[in-house]
Amino acid sequence: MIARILSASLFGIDAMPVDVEAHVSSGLPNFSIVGLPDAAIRESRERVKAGILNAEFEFPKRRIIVNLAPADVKKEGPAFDLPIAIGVLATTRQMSIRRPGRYAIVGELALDGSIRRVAGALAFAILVREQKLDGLIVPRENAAEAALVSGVKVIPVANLYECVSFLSCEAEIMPYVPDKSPTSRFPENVQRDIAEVRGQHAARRALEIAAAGGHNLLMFGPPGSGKTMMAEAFAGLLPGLSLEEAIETTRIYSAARTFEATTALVVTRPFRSPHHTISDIGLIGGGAIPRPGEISLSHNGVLFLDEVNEFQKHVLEVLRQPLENGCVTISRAAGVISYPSDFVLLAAMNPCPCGYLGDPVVDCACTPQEIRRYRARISGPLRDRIDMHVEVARVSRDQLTSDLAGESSITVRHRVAKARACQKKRFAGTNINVNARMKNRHLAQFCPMDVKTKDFLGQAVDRLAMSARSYSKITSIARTIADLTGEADICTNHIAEALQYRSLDREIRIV
Amino acid sequence: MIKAIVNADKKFPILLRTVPQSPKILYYQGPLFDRLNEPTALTVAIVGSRRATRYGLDMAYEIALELSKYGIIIVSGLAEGIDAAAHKGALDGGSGTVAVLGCGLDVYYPYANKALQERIGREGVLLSEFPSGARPQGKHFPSRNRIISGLSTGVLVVEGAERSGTLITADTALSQGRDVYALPGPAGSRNTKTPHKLLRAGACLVETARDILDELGLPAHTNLSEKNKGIPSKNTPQLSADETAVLSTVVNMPKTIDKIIYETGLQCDKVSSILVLLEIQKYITRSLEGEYVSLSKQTEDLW
Ligand SMILES: Nc1ncnc2c1ncn2[C@@H]1O[C@H](COP(=O)(O)OP(=O)(O)O)[C@@H](O)[C@H]1O
Ligand SMILES: [Mg+2]
Ligand SMILES: [Zn+2]
Repeated sequence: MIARILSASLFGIDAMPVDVEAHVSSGLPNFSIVGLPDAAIRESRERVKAGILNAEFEFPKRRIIVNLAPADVKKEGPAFDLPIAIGVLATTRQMSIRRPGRYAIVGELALDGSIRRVAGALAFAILVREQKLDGLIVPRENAAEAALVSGVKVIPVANLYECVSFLSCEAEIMPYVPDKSPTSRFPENVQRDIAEVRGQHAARRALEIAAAGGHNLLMFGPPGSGKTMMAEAFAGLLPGLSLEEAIETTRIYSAARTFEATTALVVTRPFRSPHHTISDIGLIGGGAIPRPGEISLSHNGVLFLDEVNEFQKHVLEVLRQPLENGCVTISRAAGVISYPSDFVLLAAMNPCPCGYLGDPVVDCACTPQEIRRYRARISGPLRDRIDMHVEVARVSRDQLTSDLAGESSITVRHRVAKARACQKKRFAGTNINVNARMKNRHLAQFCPMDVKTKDFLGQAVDRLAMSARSYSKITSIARTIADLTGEADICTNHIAEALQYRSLDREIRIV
Repeated sequence: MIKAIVNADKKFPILLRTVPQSPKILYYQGPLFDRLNEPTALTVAIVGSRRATRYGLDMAYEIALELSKYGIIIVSGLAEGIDAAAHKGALDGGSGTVAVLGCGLDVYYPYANKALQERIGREGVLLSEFPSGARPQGKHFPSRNRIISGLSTGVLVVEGAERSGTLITADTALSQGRDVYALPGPAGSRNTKTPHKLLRAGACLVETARDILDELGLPAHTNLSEKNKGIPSKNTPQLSADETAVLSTVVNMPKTIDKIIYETGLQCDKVSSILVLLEIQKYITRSLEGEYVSLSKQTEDLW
């Protein structure tokens, strides 16, 4: 007799249906799993054996074959332990599945027969809904995560015995009901409040503009000038995640096996700060068992590259596609995986090779030539995708103690949210949502300027010897500046302020 | 056209021939070379920081201009900052200038001074002990500095930070028996560290070109003009009250945008856009430190 159990496997951040078929026959005792199992599934054989024995069932001394179909897809993870064990018990008639309806089953077995949490429960629940199955049996620890998908019956199980009792109708298990229905918007990322940053008016203003328009921003300033601090506060200038954003982000974290310890859902806007020694796989994702990289873990949030000049050049080059498209594609033998990666990039670097340029105490020993060359070293593809540059000077000690606290994150976030609402309205019906993503055709459509303003921009670019490609950057920043005060038209003041944030365009030309 | 001259040649600059480790060969280009050995020729070097302040640039330009009007040839190293200001003042004053390079005469280094280098090749003289095509190297510069002071009767130090190349040039000048002059600056500025150190050690304090002329024993000259100060007068009436307020904060000292916001009490976005407007009209510029500096007519293109 063949027992057929429904299960699922992760592919990227999506789930794919997998059929687990167990077949018992006479012959030399043997237990094999086919269907391109990876190392994890071979290990699963041992866990299934021990789990069955410790749940007081028998592991039959017969010839058992388990097939995971479709066979041509490389599957991963220990989530098949539970469906395999159920298949073995059913095919050897130690249980019979009497429960009406079609349930998908996922779960990792511990040696004692208890069930451990798995990666991707949210994606499995989405699959169950898409395939119109009757429910999803998940490890108890995954129940809250799976139940985020409305309309899916989630059956939490703690051990193999519970699962068997439920399927054979010997016991009932109540579907998991979330304590409270999810809100439409979650709390903001509050790991650091911008009010903690003293002085730095210009840099704070730049952060606000970047947050409002989704502009990538480069800060340069000496060590200790507060760059890291401001980057950490940046995520808190963005409004809280919406439910859709939170679900999307959670799927990524779940696929990356980066569980937040207590909550099922990733509800705070991500802030990721990978070290400069990171590999390109670590940054963009991939690997033998593909996982999302840092850029996807930053999806809907902030990616902070501190000491950006220290990153390997080829590592930074791979940022080009995600910065352009908001997603990254990784080619595998089994197909192309795509992970979402729509984030705001913050980068920080020293102002000069020795780091002390502009420092009020320590003298910088660099020549102007060295300084310009150092700044020009940020690789071209990356530089082209950074909208704003801002110099961050070190705040003197007495200013740190005497300067009044500036605006708090809440106040700034309020303006940012307004500016974002403007943009949402403007871009309704297009495939973009923030000013930073405008292409030339959008600029023409959404950023008309009167003759006077246009002339001013032309004259400024000319006088300040900026390159032609500065035009579109300046225009989109000016658009955001106008949105912050709810002004419909871009005028010369907006352009003038926007010019302030393109200082590298001027220096690079004289290297 | 680049020419070469050996140490033994009688046209080799006399002042330079007598210093320790005098270069064996010099490459040169420009009409001024033959004047160096004329009995009436007087040479003064002006050196200082590459990252200078407006004050330093203006003073270097001004003093070079006045000395040049008096017929004195100004020697410097064609670096950015003070060197460039001194060369420019010297050319404008009419007596020409000597630029000593740390690379081949056909190499533009620093590239920012390309136009100035070409002008000196036409109106003054470019000198180097390195052959055509030689790239600039760190070790070339101390050696170049000994030529700058070796060619000059005295060396004026305008600005320099604590452990600067300028200080080394001054030391070399002393060991060659040259006079060292120094221009005082505002207390506490990083760029006054070197000149003040020299002044404490007994260097001659110089406020105007007149001080150097006195040291050289030259009689008063009627032609010395007043240096300009304060907000440049061009177009000033066109500025709004806020613009004038912003501009006035940076006239005497370079300032960061945060300092300007603090001193004027204006909003950040307002100050940002005013600064750009002033920059486009060439009232101010932004230094590599990220500070705003007011510009004077003479030195505005040296930034
Ligand atoms: N503007 C500032 N306001 C308040 N604290 C500051 C400021 N600048 C620096 N600090 C203090 O200095 C520390 C170092 O700042 P950090 O952000 O790490 O600087 P950077 O990343 O530029 O080297 C901070 O943790 C903070 O305590
Ligand atoms: Mg830091
Ligand atoms: Zn430095």
